[in-house]
Amino acid sequence: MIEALLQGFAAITAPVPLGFLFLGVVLGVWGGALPGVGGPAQLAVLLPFAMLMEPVNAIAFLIGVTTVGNTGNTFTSVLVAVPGGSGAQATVLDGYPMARNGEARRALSAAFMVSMLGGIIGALVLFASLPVMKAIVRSFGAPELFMFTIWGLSMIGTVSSGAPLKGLTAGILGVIISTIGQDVKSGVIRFDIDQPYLWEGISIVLISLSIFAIPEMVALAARKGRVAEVSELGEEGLLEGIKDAFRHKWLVLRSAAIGTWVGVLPGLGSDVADWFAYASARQTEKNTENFGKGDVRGVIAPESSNNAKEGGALLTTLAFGIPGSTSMALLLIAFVAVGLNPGPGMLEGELHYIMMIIIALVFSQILASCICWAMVKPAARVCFFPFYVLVPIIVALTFLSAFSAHFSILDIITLLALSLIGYFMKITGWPRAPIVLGFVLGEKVELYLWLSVARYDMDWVWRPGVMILITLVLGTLLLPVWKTYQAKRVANAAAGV
Amino acid sequence: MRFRLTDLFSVFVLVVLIGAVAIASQWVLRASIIILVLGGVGIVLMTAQLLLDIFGREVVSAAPEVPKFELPIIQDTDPKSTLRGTLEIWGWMVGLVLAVPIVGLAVGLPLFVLTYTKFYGASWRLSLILSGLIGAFIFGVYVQIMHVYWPDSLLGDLLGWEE
Repeated sequence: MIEALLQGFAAITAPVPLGFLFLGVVLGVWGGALPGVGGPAQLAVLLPFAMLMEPVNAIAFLIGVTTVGNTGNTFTSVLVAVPGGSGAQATVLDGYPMARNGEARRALSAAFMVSMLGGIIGALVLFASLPVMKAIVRSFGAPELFMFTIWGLSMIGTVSSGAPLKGLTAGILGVIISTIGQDVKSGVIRFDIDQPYLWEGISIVLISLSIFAIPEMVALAARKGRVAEVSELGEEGLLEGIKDAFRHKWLVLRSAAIGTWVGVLPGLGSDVADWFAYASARQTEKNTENFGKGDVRGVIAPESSNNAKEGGALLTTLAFGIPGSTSMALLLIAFVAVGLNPGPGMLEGELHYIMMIIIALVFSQILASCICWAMVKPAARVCFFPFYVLVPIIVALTFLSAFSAHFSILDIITLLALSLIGYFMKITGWPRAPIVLGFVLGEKVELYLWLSVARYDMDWVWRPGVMILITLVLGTLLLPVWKTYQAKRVANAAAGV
Repeated sequence: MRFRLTDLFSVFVLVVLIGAVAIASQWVLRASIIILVLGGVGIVLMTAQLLLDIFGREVVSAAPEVPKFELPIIQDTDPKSTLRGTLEIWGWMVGLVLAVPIVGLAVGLPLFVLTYTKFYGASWRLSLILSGLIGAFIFGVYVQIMHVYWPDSLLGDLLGWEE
């Protein structure tokens, strides 16, 4: 293993592969920072070029492009409340309020630091777990995945911003919206209102743009002001952000562990890692009253996890040949095209390639964070742009991003219709995060429940993994109740009641 | 008893949930179970919320408990001007959608940026630069690299762009 590691290191640090890695990282960061450009669409465009390269160069280039999008997409999430990708949705909740408080630099700097740390942790987990991962992943079937998604749904209460009934209802609404389109189990076409466009369902891109981005741009245009409510950006923000990352090192580690685990589980989807980490931080951290108002921990948690998940996702893609997302599926195709054989055989015969990938992953995270840091100061100035500069640019990019979902004008009409819901949620004080979380998990909840019942009848409930996860769900639901009870008891004791 | 305008959205959500459950009840159970179960729960929760909002005790607090991100926009600015600004931006976006069948998306977006920035007082130079940047981005990424098929438009038909 050490020999393979050294062999991989020597190959990837040669000038040509390093050059391709740098190019890939630049493209990956750029794609991540512009809504609708990065992710699978960008990878699909670059794939034909990568397929013509030598395996080492292709590995360096593709890992660079694929694994840093979540670092780049922090810019728009923090500065203008537009989630640049599905992995940066939860970052909006505290990142944007920080920008409005004049702490954009601090938020971005902390995000890039923890993105790098999270990505490296993910890569280390990938390295350390190679010998044992086969057994662990095989022990995770549909029932465990179902309970994992239920655990995610149980976190809705924590992102409900003090309105639990509305939060839960919004989550349910999100699940119901996720059922739009053809049901693969029965063939029934659900809620299509006679529009073939809806047969494929609604894209997550449209949901996150309409619930977060457009309502914030409407608010900005209505205020006729700027994003930042203060007149100066903190000069210390950059350094403060880096310090924040180390001040909350345990949160970084915990969130990275959550991200890696979500990445490892094929089919759970990469877009839930940030939500899981955010909700977990909000539940387990002390003094959470500032979450949602611009707490840096609300940025650290999702950003640590969304980069850490890349290591986990690569693990199942390389070790089992099972891609956990569209990007990983495309990566798998490219690896096969350049002569690699992802799957169990790669662990034995081509271990040095896996080591190359791990080293490229670490280098990519460091490079991406350095590039993004260099852009923090100029990028943070966006918060001071007048509304008449920011609003049309963001609305145009949002429309383009929505159009990229199916390349249909109906994408934009759907975006506007859903934006009305998002806008009314905003002006009537409904928590918006639960609807996105419900949408992200809805499809998976339904699928894994059906698979569990079809395969095990009701016996799946008694599987050890399921029992552990049920305990976790109960803990998640009961912990806030217990905390409230304790706080009341302390308050009563202080008042002498 | 009090019924506020904000409760109208809760009524809307309740109607959507009832409609979803009613429609789903006509499908086979395999396709409808999750909608029936969760929709049913949602109807109960929403009814409870509405009853609390309409008949419950009004809580007056000095500081809003809701996180800043979720705060309603009509808060610290003049409600009338905020309402006017809100209607204006929705008007711009609806106008943009309506313009797409006429000029196409690739032309409509830079045109939107140009007219919006100019309308609200930007200089010609800034308006042209911003709309040029959007146009260059669309042409470079969507046309040259991604080879996107653009929906038909009147202007495109006239100029023969689809060919």
